[in-house]
Amino acid sequence: MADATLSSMTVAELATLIKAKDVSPVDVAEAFIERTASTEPQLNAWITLLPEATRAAAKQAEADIVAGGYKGPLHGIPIGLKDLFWTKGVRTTSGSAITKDFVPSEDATVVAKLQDAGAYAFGKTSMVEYAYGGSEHNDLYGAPKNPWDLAHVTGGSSSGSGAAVAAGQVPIALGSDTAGSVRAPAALCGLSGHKPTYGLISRFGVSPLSWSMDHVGPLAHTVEDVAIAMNAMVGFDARDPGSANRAPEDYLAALQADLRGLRIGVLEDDFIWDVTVPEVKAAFDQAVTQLTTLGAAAEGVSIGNLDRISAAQVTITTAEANTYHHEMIQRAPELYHPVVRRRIEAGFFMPAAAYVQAQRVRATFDERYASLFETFDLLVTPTTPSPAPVANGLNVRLPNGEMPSRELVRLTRVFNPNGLPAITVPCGFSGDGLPMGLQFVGPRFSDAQVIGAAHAYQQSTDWHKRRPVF
Amino acid sequence: MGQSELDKETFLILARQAGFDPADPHLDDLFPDVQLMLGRMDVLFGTPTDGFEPGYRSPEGGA
Repeated sequence: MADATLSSMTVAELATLIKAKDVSPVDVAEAFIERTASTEPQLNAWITLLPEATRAAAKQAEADIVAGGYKGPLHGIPIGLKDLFWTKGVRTTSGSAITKDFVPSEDATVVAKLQDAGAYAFGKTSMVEYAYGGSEHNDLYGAPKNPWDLAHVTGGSSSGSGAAVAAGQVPIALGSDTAGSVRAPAALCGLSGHKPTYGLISRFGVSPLSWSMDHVGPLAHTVEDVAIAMNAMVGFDARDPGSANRAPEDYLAALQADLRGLRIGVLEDDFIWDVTVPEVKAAFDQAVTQLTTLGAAAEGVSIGNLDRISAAQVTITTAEANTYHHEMIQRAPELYHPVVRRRIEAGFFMPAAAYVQAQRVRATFDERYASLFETFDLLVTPTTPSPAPVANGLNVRLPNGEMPSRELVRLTRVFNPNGLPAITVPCGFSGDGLPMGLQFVGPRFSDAQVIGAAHAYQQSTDWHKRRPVF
Repeated sequence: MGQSELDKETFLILARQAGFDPADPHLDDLFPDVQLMLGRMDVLFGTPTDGFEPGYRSPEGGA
């Protein structure tokens, strides 16, 4: 029987054991395979599992390490890949019936980079069809359940990645984030999740939702694990037209930072607080107090008119998604999930001027955010307006009523059009035992600072050490 | 007239132009989504954007 404690460990903890040869990558693989076998029937976090490939990769990693070829903290670590990352020879469905048999001939750049660092694919995680939704069900593959309470949603669209890491099926997973699809499931599942600056991580081989706002990012138990993954994933890629060619940074080194003297803007916009439930507000306020205790200077600030950038984000997504799906959805509309189908088809009715005006609104927020970041180093908000709710059709149930499930990404989507780095970390638990998230946002390419600040906060709490009893 | 004020008759004309069968009952489901989408346009066109050109800046922050 595999060592069950391994499946509750972080990447950093596993790496320490593997590097010291106290544990073999084969032991690690067997622990996660066993954990997945016992939990997946209830959780439904995966579209494709790769147990044989996992065992082969773990055996190879063991041989390489024994031979003195240790590559670093990801060597011998299994990773969950949202099923829109191309994997050579392994089907990549994007959560859809239309592409259910698509088998890429090469890996996504980010998958190849993780493999170069010694990690390997454990499987392909479930997701909202074509990443177009905050929490809706996936009728074809089934919706993942939240390990903290199986009756509650995980958030999406990287729903399986959130569920799998939270349940200890893998120690880390990849997601994509166009409106909050890394941060929302991370927050609702009690994880740390980072949406990097647009352009830092290659999108080549990642099935698109909205080219100009899609971001690749990791979900893990800790910010330290996020930093480990970032060190392997970041880098210029000529095959991604939006890729940024910048000098590499060491995100693990950024973990040495502290919060003393950091100027933090605490968002006061009604847009943030209109739908946020009191439990989240209370946890957020406590977190802000903690940030000041750690030496940060926190001050209230309003960005203003966030409904405008929110509308721009939705408009740009509608237009770009419709363009990408233009031919497929006319050929086989019945193969799409009804909700996703309508969202895409709505784009047929969008005047060109609306897309252009959304880009102009986006430009006004480039200026607004730049101005704010002259005064503040970071902004903070709750990550989601509520803990993981229960789904009711296209709505989710809250203590004070219902709201459309898309509102789960209300507080995250406003930072996507401008490509800002944003990370979520757990900042408390509701009375029902559901996790809540704190979001840090910084100026473009300040990922090291964002990660460093989130880590400093996380080190002063123990929320990230909790695991669901499941 | 606000951008969001699309009546069903106009919607069906636009739907035909977009290649839909106007008799398809699916359009009854799609109509509210289109209205919701057009409703956002009022917010966008109500935003002062004088002096701002469309287009996303490159990741390096240039033009």
